[in-house]
Amino acid sequence: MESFSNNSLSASQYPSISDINFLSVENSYIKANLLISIIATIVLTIIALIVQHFTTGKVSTIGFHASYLIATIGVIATIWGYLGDKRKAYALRELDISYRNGVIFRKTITQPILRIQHVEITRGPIERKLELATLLLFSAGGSLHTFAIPGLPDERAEQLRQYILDHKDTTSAE
Amino acid sequence: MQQETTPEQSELDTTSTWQRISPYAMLYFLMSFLKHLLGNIVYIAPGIVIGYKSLIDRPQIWLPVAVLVVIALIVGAVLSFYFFTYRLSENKIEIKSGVFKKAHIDLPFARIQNVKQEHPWYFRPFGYVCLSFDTAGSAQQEAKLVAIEHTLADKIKQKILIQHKEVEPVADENLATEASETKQNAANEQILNTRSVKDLVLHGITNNRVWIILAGLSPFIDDLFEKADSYLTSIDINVDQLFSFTDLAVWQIAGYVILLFFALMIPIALLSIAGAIISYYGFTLSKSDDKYIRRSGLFTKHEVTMRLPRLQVLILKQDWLDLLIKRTNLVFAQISSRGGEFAAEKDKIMVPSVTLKESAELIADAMPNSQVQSIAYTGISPWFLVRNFLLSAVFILPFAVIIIAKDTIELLWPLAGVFIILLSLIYCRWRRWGIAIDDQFVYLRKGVLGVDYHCFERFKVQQIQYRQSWFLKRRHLGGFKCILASGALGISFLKEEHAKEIVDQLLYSAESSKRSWM
Repeated sequence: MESFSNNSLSASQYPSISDINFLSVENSYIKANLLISIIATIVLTIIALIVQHFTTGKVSTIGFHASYLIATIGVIATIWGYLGDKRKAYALRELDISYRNGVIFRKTITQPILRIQHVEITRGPIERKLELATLLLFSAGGSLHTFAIPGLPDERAEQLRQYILDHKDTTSAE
Repeated sequence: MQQETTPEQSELDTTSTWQRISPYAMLYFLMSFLKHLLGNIVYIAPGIVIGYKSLIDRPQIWLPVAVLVVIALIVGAVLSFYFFTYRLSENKIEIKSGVFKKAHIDLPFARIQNVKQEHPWYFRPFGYVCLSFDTAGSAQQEAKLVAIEHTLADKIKQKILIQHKEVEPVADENLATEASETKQNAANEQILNTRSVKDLVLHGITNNRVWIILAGLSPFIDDLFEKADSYLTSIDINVDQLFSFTDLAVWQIAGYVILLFFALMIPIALLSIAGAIISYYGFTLSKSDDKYIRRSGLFTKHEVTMRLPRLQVLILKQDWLDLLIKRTNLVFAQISSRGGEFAAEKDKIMVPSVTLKESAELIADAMPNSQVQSIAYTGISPWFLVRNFLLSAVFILPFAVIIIAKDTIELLWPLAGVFIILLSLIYCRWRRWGIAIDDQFVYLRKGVLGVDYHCFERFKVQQIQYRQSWFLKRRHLGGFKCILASGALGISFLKEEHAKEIVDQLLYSAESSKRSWM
């Protein structure tokens, strides 16, 4: 039986996730997200204010508080989202692809390319306008652990997809 | 079952003629229409309820309607039968069906994932079965041959399986194993473990299996409570009086609580034992080639099959009572069709309440080099205690403030009790959490009062997440989560370097190994 004895060597043997150079997601993605959040906050607050205007005196003061609440939540969510987007970054190594996110609870997800079942590129209407794309990687770990890299330039997403497909073909064990 | 075969059945007709199914299929269609009708009765129920009185007095209205419905059902069944034809060719099956909405399913054998035989009760006397074909695609593509003779069904199944073997010898293990199963008999099936009723009683006591019963009883629970209440009143026990504490001493209340606890626990334990016996009666775990088969069940016998390469995680579950009587539940978690954290229980194979020696034997068979029961686990950082003590203090504090503000100081004692219990549970959790890794496996230890050991092969990870909150980073701590095809497993509050090193090692194993994870 193999024993646990050669563990002390191992730390330096393996390539480490600490050495990965991450690439941030596109600036246009971050800006667009920020803009959407700001607009959404303003629109929702205005709606709340209008509702409040027409219901003053008729209903209680709930409407008044709601507009404040919506504005506050909107501002916090906008800032949080912006900081989160700033931290979103990805990296491709020969054998795996990584994605980092999270403001306070930070995660670095690493997906070995050999274990990828399926690759997909999606483009929403705004993404299309900005020539951005989201890369979706599916593994056998289930839909809960599908990881998505947003804010990639179109051609970059396409490159990554092609790289993954090629790579799978040459090394596929199945 | 009908055993005789007519000449035209003995050879599968693979010419391009469209064939009809047996007229007994009309029975099937009738039943499925009825099921459909009953399923939709909710929508017309309010109308019926409201107009019930006036309707029932006027047979001239409801009688023709009822007759029309019955005629429509019968005509529908006859037409469905008439329009249902199928054609078998060398490597595919085609099915045409539907009266108004015609459907033409063209299913190559290669796309069939699984062949299932169903025996509806109304077919059993005649020896007919329904044969359904699962495909990898969507549920809409599901094909079903209704009412064909048992022998014919076997032949079609065999034909599909054999062809699968020729085309792709290993790719589709579901079918490959099924084919080998039908070829080999049960002779080379080796029984690894059986469970006696005594084991199941133990299992029922140590593991709460009440839900198995409760799930079946849930519609009647209100009735049961009412019945119990009226029964107690009839033997002169007034529940309301029993629970009025106002003029009782503390020791009396404590006595009541203990009594009530046992009064509740004993029936629960009995129900749990019954649940364990219902689901695990006649338990056998057997092995045939590289395939594990679990069979058990008192009323309906369930069978779960798992090929050994599909085994992802081996779990040893010990509740605190199991620890006392030195038993453990062994779970083989395989690739779940649903995947992720909601992995279906039915995909797992559990061997209930085995002794430690038996579990060691089973582990040795399934994961030969696993040291899950012997390896030394590394615990997690005491900062886990600090964080969770603080969190529980934050949780308790508002209650304390309210109690003091309301000037009901005597309630502080129970609150302190809750706080202490919470702290001790956190402490137990901290004591349990541990990790170990060797050249082949990763081991995780978890639990609060009980203890669970998880063991999986390093190269079977699908994805790894290195997790580190901002607070953990300041303490140079971190954790990781491994995503396996059977679900996710993780640990936190490890030393940063240690966690990263494990992540790196696991990635290396997954990326350098050319072995298939299934």
